Amino acid sequence: MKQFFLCLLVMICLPCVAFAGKVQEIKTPGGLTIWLMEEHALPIITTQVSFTGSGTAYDPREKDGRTNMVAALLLEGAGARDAKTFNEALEEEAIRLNVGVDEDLVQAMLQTITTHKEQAFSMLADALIRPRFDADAVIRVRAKMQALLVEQRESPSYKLMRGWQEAVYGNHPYARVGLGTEQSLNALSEKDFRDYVKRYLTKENMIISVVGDISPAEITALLDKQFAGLPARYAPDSEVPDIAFPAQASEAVIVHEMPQSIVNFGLPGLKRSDPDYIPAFVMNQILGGSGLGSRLADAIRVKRALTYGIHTQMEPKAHSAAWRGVFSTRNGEVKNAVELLKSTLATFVSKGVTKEELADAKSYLTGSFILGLSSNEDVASFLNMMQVHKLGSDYLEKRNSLIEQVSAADIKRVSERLIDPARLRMVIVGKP
Amino acid sequence: MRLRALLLALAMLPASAHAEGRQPIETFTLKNGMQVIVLPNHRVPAVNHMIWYRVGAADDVQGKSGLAHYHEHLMFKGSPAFAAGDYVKLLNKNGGEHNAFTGADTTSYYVTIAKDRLPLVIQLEADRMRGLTVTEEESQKEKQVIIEERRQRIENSPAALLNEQINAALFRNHPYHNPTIGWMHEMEGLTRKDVLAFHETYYHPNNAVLIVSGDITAAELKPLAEKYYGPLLKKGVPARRWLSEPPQLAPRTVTLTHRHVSQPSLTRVYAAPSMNEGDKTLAVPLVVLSHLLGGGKTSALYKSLVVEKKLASEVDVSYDFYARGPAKFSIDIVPENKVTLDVIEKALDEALTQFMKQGADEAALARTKRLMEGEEIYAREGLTSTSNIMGWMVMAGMQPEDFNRWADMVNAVTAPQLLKAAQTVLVKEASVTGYLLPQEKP
Repeated sequence: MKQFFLCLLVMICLPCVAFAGKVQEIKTPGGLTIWLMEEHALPIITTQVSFTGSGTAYDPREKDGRTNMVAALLLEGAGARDAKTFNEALEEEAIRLNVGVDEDLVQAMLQTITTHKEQAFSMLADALIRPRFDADAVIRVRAKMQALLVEQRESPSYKLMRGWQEAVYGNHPYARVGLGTEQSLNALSEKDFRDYVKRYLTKENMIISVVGDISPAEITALLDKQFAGLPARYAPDSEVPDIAFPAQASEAVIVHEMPQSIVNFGLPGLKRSDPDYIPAFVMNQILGGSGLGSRLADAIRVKRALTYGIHTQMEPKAHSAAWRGVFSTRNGEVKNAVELLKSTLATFVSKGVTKEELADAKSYLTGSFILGLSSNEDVASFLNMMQVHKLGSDYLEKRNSLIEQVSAADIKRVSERLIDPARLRMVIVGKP
Repeated sequence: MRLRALLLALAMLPASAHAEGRQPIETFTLKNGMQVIVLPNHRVPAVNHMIWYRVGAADDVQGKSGLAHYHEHLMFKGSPAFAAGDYVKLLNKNGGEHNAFTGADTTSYYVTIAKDRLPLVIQLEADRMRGLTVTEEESQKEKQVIIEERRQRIENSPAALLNEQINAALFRNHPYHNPTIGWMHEMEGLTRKDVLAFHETYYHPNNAVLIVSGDITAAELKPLAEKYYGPLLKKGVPARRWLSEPPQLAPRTVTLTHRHVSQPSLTRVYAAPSMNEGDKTLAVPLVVLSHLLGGGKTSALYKSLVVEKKLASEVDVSYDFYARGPAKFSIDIVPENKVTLDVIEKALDEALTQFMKQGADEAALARTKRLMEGEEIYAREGLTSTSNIMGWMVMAGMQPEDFNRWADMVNAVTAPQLLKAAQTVLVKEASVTGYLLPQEKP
């Protein structure tokens, strides 16, 4: 661990993009849809590929950990290359390829220097279409995940996450252990991995965004050629149902001997498709959005010094939506801090926001939007998010005006709809 | 997390060989001695303003560990023209992303914001360089906040606790012995008066370096800098005469057994020269060595311990060449389940011995260099990462132009130099080995 200390709690990662460039929607002869934003200032091409409905929530119970194992194995040998030569080839051309997983989807991020684009896209296609699942790579990845499982066992943040999943999602697949269990990992076989790739990494559920130094004609030709071998049809094991946020309050304490408790709290949120999502997003900014300067940070950190930081966020998922926050405080003050949290929320709902607060939040959100423009990676992720949530390709231009339109009455309405302190669900890890 | 991103950016210092990839660099110095570096990049109409002070936790008054970090917190609690909280409020209102860091050697404050809001940032920053107006009540409350911060980051984490002990064992005399955030019992005794005296001693324009990257040129910045930073007076700052380390004669081990450890891990740390202290010619070879040994799935230790011997699941190597004092060359290993730390340690020592016998494989060295070179263009994408890299380099005593020379420096490293660096630095006598262990079940 390095010795620098983040002093102000980290700003939440606002979905910040708004580029000078325009989004071009390309339908290729090969049947792909590509969102492209050309950006020729630097010789870099960044691509994000997401597969909707492919995340850990789709793992059958006895195959918990499958998606995570596959994701790691995609980079452990593909096509003609075994793990060693695959990774050496990436390094030699300075190509960056990463695969990420959440409950809802798997996504790959590819970054390449323009001159190496042919090899970069061919290696991406190898990883997605022709992963090898060599026996020694499977053993290595399994061992790594087993070690991680053991490591997490005593980690307070892991306990918190598991406690929260159980408190909110109960028997829903969202409450599953994405990393798997010792038994499920041991039971997973090469056949499971190959089956997953065929069913889930398909043209039908694929979303592609490309940002950088490439023309529409070039990207069309490249991807049509490289992705020709992708399976056409998406065929999940089963569908994941929607789940509503629980209606009643609850408080779970997970005892963990440490001087400070971590308090996780939440209420219903809104899906991205909800017409009130933007007002709720602005409301969250005022309540607990960016590290300092919010209602909750002011009440709990600045006025009472009960915590180093408190932060809240909207968590829209494909099948559920929550508004969630977290803070840490010394064990003896948990009760006081929670009371303060509840009373701050209650006052917020009953009194609403001041004109100044609303104006400040809007100018922060609209003003900082552009800052995320400086990297292609941020833009590519944002474009994929827009596609996943079907926000339309003009959302980039519309986003700031949607925020400008939010009124104090809108905030009041969504806070009455969402923020009910009597329904607060809470998970505490520590020794309160 | 942002902190991690910054550190990663630093580990991947740009390596630019090609002329078209060069970062334009403009510099000037104000009459009061404040050094200014401008890194123009016109991709978006935004700027990153980052001010670096040549003071950090290693300058804490003896017995008052954590003072530099506490001071940094109180920088947000009011200055002559602005009330407590104004800094945050005004920047939020104007869409500025901001943060601050205290390290052992330096303290830095940054804001990324739309270009036309830059005057506000400079005004705020210059005002708090002039002086702090924090009240006794605010300073008491903020002390509770940093104590909560210590609990959150250190006391709640066995790995962080062990790391603190390893540092203290590695640096026996040098102030790097103490944690940046401070020892709890000393933090409790910190006062507002300590902070004000610290400010008066170190926060002067001649002790700061300003780096602005983004949609701006030196010609545009200069009048603004002169207007707001210009009137601040130059003042004598005490020389940083840190206690130095005696020779490292005996290997040390530190064991932390904790009820909340379920997966043991091993950390090996060597006292190493940096860009500033000791045999400086070893610094760049050591950077390359850290990549070669532990920079990913094709690195030497990963290959040996993870792929071939199947004893470990993770290997990480890092080296803080930018330290102003002595540096650390660190190796972190997570074993596979049921592999004991003594087995891992033996395998690590064998792998290192073998490396020192055979030297670096030329193909691996060439690949490592190409990888480091490729990172150059990626590193230039973000405004914050460019100012951050430049800041560390300059604070480490390098010249701004070294930013564009880094590739040549890396490419010039030869296999014999790597071997010499490894043989000089990776010696048991200069090391601390830390064991993180679960508590025995009764």
